[in-house]
Order: sequence, then C-alpha cells, then structure tokens
Amino acid sequence: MSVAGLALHPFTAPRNLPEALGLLAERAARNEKTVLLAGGTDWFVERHVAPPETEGTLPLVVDVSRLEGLRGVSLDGDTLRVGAGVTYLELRKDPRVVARGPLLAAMARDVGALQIQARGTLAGNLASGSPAADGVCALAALDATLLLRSVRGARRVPLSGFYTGYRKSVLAPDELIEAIEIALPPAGSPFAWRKVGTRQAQAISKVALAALAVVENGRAPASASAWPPSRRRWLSSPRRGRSGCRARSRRSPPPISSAPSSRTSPRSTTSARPPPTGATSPSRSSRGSSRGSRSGIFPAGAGLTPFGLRATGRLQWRLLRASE
Amino acid sequence: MAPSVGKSVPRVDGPAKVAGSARYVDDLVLPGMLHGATVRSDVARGRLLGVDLDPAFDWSGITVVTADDVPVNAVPIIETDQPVLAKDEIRHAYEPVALLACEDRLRLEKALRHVTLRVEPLPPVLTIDDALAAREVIRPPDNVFKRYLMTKGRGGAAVDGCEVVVRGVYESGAQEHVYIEPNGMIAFWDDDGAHVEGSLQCPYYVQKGVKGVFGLPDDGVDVTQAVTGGGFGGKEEYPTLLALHALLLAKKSGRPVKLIYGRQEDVEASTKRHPSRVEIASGCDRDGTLRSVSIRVLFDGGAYVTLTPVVLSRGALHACGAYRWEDVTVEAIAVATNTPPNGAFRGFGAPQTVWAIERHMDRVARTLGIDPMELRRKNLLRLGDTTATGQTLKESVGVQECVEKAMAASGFTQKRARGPVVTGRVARGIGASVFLHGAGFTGSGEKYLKGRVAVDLLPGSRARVRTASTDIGQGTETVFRQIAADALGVAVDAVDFAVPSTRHVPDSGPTVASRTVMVVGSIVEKAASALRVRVGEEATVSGVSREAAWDRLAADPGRATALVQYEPPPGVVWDDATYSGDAYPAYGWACDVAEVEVDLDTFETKVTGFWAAVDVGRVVNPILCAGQVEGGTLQAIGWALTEKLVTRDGKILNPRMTNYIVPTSLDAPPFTTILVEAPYSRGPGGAKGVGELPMDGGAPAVAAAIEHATGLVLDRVPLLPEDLFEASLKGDAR
Repeated sequence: MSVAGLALHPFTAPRNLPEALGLLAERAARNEKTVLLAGGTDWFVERHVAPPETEGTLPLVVDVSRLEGLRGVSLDGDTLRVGAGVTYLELRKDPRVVARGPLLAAMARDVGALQIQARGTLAGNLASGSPAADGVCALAALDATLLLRSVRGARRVPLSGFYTGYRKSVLAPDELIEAIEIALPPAGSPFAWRKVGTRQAQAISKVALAALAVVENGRAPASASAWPPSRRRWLSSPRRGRSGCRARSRRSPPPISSAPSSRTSPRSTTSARPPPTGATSPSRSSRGSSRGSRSGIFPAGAGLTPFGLRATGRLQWRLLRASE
Repeated sequence: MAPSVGKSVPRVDGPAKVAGSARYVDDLVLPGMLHGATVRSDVARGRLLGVDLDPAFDWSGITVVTADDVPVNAVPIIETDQPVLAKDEIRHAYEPVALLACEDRLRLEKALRHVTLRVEPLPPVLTIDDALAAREVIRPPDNVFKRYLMTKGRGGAAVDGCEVVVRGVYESGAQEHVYIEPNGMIAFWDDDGAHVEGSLQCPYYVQKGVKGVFGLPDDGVDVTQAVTGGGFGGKEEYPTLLALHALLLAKKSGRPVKLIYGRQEDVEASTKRHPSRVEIASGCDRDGTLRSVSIRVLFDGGAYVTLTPVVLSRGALHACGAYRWEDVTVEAIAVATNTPPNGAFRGFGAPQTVWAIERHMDRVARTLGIDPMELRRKNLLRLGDTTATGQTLKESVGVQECVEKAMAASGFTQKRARGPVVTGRVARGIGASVFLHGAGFTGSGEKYLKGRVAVDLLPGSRARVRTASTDIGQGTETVFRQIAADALGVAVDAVDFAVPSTRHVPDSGPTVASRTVMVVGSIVEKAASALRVRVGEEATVSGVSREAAWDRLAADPGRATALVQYEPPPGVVWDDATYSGDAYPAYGWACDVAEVEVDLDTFETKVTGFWAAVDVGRVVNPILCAGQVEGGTLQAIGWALTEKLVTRDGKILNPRMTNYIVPTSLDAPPFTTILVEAPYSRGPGGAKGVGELPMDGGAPAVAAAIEHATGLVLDRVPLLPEDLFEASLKGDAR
C-alpha cells in the first residue's frame, strides 16, 4: 500500500495527547482495532502481506506523528528522554544524543535509507516488535525504560519486561508509548554497534549487536545485547519468512554478558545463563593460522561459532577496541 | 568528419532521464482514462469454478473482464498454452483471472476486495524433482516442456575410461530482474484499431500477440515503446500480456485504460530467471587435458512454455564452457511446474550452465591438485578448434588475451599462490572464471527473422534511423546514431532516432540476445552507407554540392530512404534436428577475477575487487560498453550473494525490495574493466554482442574466491551469510 491507499482506511488525527488517549480508551472499551500511525514505515509496507481486510473490519488509523506531547529529546542530568514521535533522523542529529548517547546515534544511522530515517521512530520500532528491530537492540544495551500512558495514568516498564513473545508486548490496547527514558552511562563510555544484513546498507538485520562498557577502576565490564534475545522464542515463529532463521535458531549463543565472569556488569540487560555445553571457542591456532595453508579454515566438526558470539572474551575486546 | 565509433559519445537519452522530463508510461494521461487492475488466483494449482462479484457492492462505473470476453484466449509466443485470462484451470499462484477498470483508483482498490474466486485446489508441482517424478501431470505426458540432446565424438560414453573422472552437481535459484520501472501499459481503440504504448523491449512481439488474440491485421495494431526504465529480458515476452489486458479493458469500457503494476505485483507475477540443476561428469588426463564430458541440464520452466525452449537451448549450447572436448553429451530438459512462468533474463540460460561448468573446472583442478587457471588455459578454445556443436572457430577468438590481461591486472597468480590471507576474523581470497557468450540468435534464428532497418535522409544534411530495436537504458539510441553518423560522414547530432512504433519502424527483430549492435547495428551501417553512396552519386550526376544533393534526395520520397534487410553470413550452417553446426555467428569471450573478504563471524562476503577482461570485437562507445560490463557483473554478484527468492506453496514470500535484496552501489566492488578487441568481420566495425556476456561469469568467480578464502566448497547460488554458515556446519570444507 502506498500513502494514497491510506484513504481506504477510516482515519483520524487527534489534536493533542489527552484526545488521543481518550479515543484509545473508547475504542479499547468497545474492543475495536486501532492502529497508531507515526512514521508508518512498517505498517504501510506490511499492508502488502497482511491478510486482506474487508471494509467493515478495517482498523481506525490514528495519526500520532504530530502530537506535541510525544515530541522532543531532553536531557535531565544523566537521564535522556526521547519522545515517542522522535524520528531516527532527529535522533542522530540531536547534539545531546551525539554527545551522551552515541550508541543511539550510530544505530540510527544504520536504519533503512535516509527517507526511512526521516519518518521512522524509535517508539514505532518498539511497538512493531519485529525481532529484526535495530532500535530495540540498542535500547536493550542501554537498559532503557519505556514510559507508557493511558487515561488510567502512566507507568514505567523496563525494556527487559516489555515483550512477551513474537510481536507481543505488555502494551495494553488503551495505552501508547509516550517516551523512552535512558539512564546514561558516563560520557565517553566505550560502545560498539554492528548490524549484519544481506547487503552493506538498507537491509533488514539478520543479527545486530550493541555493546556498552562502563569503566570502573580502569577496567571495563561490558554490557552487550545481541538481538534477538532468545532465539527459540523469536525465530521459530512460523510468520517469519526471511531466510536465515534456521541458521540462527540452530544454536543459541548466549549474550556476551552471560559469560561467567566477575566482570559482568550490573547493567546487563539479560539474565545470566551458563554457556551451552561444549561451547568452548575454537583455539586460535585452528582458526587464525591458516595463512598460506591449503587445508581450509573450517575443518569439519571444528564446532564453528555462529556469528562468533561464543568467543565472548575476544569479541568484547575487539568491539571495545573498535570504539576507541 | 572524424569517426565517432570508439568515442564515449554521451548518452543522448541521459539529460531527460536525469532531469526527470522523460515521460514513462505512468506519466502519460489520456482524456477519459480508466485505471486497470488484475484479479489473480492465490493458489498454485486448482480448478476455477467461478468468479463472483459481491452483489452488495456498487459496480456502476466499473468495467469487469473475464475469460469470456477474450476473443482468442491464448497468448501466442512459441506455443499457445498460456491463456490471456484463466478460464477453467489455475496453473500458478498469480494467474490472472479477471480484470477491473475504474476512473477512481480508490474505488478500484475497493472493488478488488469484492471479487471472489471459487477455486477447487489441486496438489501443485513445485520443484524440478516433483515435475520429473510426474506423480501429478500438469503437462502431458511427462511434465517436460522441451528436451535437447547434443553429442560430439563418442558422446559422454568416454568419460568413464578417462584417467581422472570428476563429478559434480551445481544449482542456481530464481532471479528477479528488478528493473527500476515496473511493467506498465496504456491502451485505447479507435477506427484504425488497437493502440498500446508502454514499457517494453520488443514492439513487434506485442503486435504479434495483439493480432493473434483480437484477430487483427498488421495495420490494425499500433504498438509504441514509451521511455523504458530497464528490461534485462523481463520486458521481452511479458509486456504482451499487459498489452492484451489493457486492450481488453479498453475495448469493453470504450475508454483508454492504463495498467501499471506496483513493485510487489511485478515481482510476483512477472517472469524470473529459470532455477536450474546441472549434473556434470567429466574425464581428463592426469596432466589436466580435458577429454570427455557428460552433462545433464535441468531447468524449471514454470507454468507455461513462453520462451523456455529457447532459454534451454542457449543453456545447453553454453554448457561445455570455453573449452575443447573431444567427446560430449549434453542432455537438456525443461520441466513444467506450478510457479509463474520463468522467462527471458540477461544471459538467457547461459549463466546457469556457465556457473556449473566453471565450478566444475575448479573441482577438476582441486582433484588434480593444479592451479584452476592453469587447467583452464591448457584447455581453452583457440582459432581453428571445434566447439561442442562441431562449429569451427574461424575468427574473433580473444579469450587468451582476456585471460592474460585479467590475470595480470589482478595479480591473480601471486595472490592465489599465497593462499587465503586471514587478518583477525576476516579471510581474503581470489577466484576466476572464463566464459563465452554466443552473440545474436541461436542457429538459424537470424535467417528466419530477416531483420530490417530504415535510414532516412532529412533536409539540412540530417538523417534518421528507424528500427524496432529499443533503448531500454543500455544506450541503443546513442550507439546507432554513432554507427549511422560514421557511415554517412556526418556528426552524431545530425542523426535522429525514431521512437520505436510498429506504425513507422520496420521489424528489426526483438531487442534481445546481445544482437542489437552486432546484427541490427550492421544493418544500420549498411543502410547508412547506401545513402552516402546515393548522395555522392546524386552530387556527381546533377553537378551540385553534396549538401544540395542531400536536400534533393530528402525531398524525394522515392529516394530519401534506404530500407535494408539482414543477410546472414554465408557458410553458416546449423542443423536443428541434430543440434550441430554453427550455433552462433560469433562469440564474446571474457575472463572475470573476483577478490573477496569473508567475515568469519558473520559470514558476510564483501567483493573487494573485480577485474573483467572482455572481448567485444570492437568497442563502439567505451563508457557505455564498460557500463554494460560493470552493470551485468553487479547483477551477477547479486545473483551470487544477495538475491534469494523464497517461496512456499508456490507463493513468493519476499516480493518486495525490502526483502528481495539487490546489491546497491555500496555492494559494488571497484571494477577494473579491460576491453579487448578481436574483431568479427560481419559486425559494424568488428563489434560483437556485450549485453549478456558479463552476467555469465560473476557468480562462479565469486564462489571460487569464497572457496579460496574459507575452504568452503559451494555449488549452489545464492550464497547468503546463512548459506555459508550452513555449509560450514556441514563441514563442506575440502
């Protein structure tokens, strides 16, 4: 569907946040379907593959992209607040974000094309709940908190408690995301951001990695988030048509922070799990010494590391080096 | 006048396209025009029981067309098995069943939701193996569209007696063209008959289709090419269907109708490159001298015949690669499946078989423990050798020079000998391929086609080229002006190029098969030369200046035009029955070298360097020629590394540009393109075809480089990171 096709849907644009919340409450009470439209960069595209809706059951589209109450970035002490209507472009150009949340800026630069960055929002990324969401990965590393609001009031939910399943969250039908709050690490904390898609840019992530380190006593315990967080839950869903799921669902590498290490940061966003059995990383000699050798780098049965995430120590080091 | 051939004359169509003033079909508006849309099945196979219109919906002002409205319900291509609109049988998941048109696009969109198809589903045939097993028969008697058998010497029987026997199976997936402009057509009827204008490669193919379905004479059908945003073969046979649909709606409504596909509909319904499996058994001496080969080529043709037999033929004819074999058997089979028809795509069957034979050459080299390029060089076809079809190569074989130049420029030998270079978690490797591509139609094609071109003298020492060869972005308008200008002895900007329309251009044949410059360009040259002679004679006879003579002839309708028909080169003999003889009048030759970096954590492959040395006979326009090489190579890299069409139950799961991933400029390696000129005596100035050649060798060169870097032996494209990961888990290492 293009923007032109929007006219097929019943549509409204509330003038302010209370009006939007009132509308949501009314529709939720009547069990009616509502779509909150911000950038529309997911929703419009998904219309193409959504099951055809008959006219009577089309959801009401509520344009929240211009609501004043959802806009703006603010910094209060060490707490960064990003309004739900802030676009990736605004985010990565905001001097406070660039200075204090460079991980967010780096992530925002990698989302889609410039046109997508100019429309898409972090909150939309959160609400869509796609396991390939770049923004969610970065927010997980930053241990973000979501400010949810309804006519019943506001509540704060940590990102780690937001999702309940594939594209499912604790967001109630009468609620919207008002803002994202981040308790920032000290300025200059090392970070790394990397996404892997099918091509160099403008591709959906196969896997993304956000890493952040807080330097204490000259040592850097790391917090990192590999997205999606739990492979079995996120990747085996039959709705996922993209190739690559199988490769990634085969083995479940733990997030970096789960490595049994005294340096595990309290900022870690995922509960510590032991590494899978047999998860020793291949020795350096078997992987790094093939220069000049004709025997190949992947001898059969070498216990190859999917995306290298199992080689935690070395990867952390590399990521941290990359950001320095 | 200094010759323009050999110079990079800027593209004549460039400024309008860059400035946005070029008018594509969707920019055209006719008074009273309706918008058209297509109702499609959504099961891969079934019996169509009925098309129901919701009685509760307001159908006023909406035109509905079904199979009952089609005069002759068969699209004439090679066969007539494909209906214009499905009547009883559904044979693929995007089969057009009904058409709607309405002035208001929003009402049209709503109306589409009120049409219901009653379909009784049947078990579909979805893969080559399903088709060969023939548990369900969708093409009697055995699901086979076409079968060829090609033999030389003792046939492949000699393989088993050879010193070293190597076997391999090589596969490739479907590929979507992703031309920048999706398919579109605008149509109307008047007292003269049917008129269509749209995005297309071959005006006379569309005309043939319209004549057949509506029972019209030649002059009752006017087909005009609008400015076209890319084709790559995807607008060879497919636009006929759109033209027919738009004309059906226009006829029933009595109004002009515009039918434009969105990207998703275009990806779902239009043709793709044939998925393939190629099985090769070869025999050679211990020193690497190739002796005998037995090849089985399997192509998935999709739901209807369309151009599959010809694609299969080209695939079979390229299956033995650029090498000498004493004994050959090639068995080629195309099967029917319940997927949208596969059709023409740059390379036309050759990329699949070149992929197979080039991967096989690497496998043979590995078995023998010799350098893969040493093996290739030892066995390359030379002047005087005979090909697998028994064709003796008499001229224009620049392959040796291509190999030497590509290897020298890339430093192949040193880099290869050094082995994979691993820096941290990144492995670097290098690989190569050598290949040929037959230019022009296969076998007797050009003889039957009798392509014609007209060149007109215009007042003021100007001229105009009239040809059905379309410019779809490749530069035809520019290079035809260059060829005509040189032959006439005038400046390039003194030559016009007529908009290809069946109303006023002769049938020069379709814009396909790398034939535009080599075949049609040679007719342009001949016609323009004839006019130059005519002007000279007129000046002599009448005792006037050359300019005055030109104007005199231009004013005389009987003498202003040279209409010339193609004459196939003498001594070219082809036997369709035994599939032997001179398969193509000439071949383009090339050597590709790819250098890659593979991330050992993420399995991302980045092509970091690409060297292509290409023998095109004669370069007409260096920038356009190199553009063909680089663009074709990037399309091949996409086929190799990113473009994976995912299907389930015959439906495409990634029919959008967000999830069918084509390379962008960031994925393009730095290209080093070396143009080699081994002239072909019958091409204009010696030129051969170049359009398809670069599509053939990119994938095997990239796969060879990945193998060099990682040790993973990969025999199936595409190779996405997850495919490399899977291969590494299976321990496909050598």
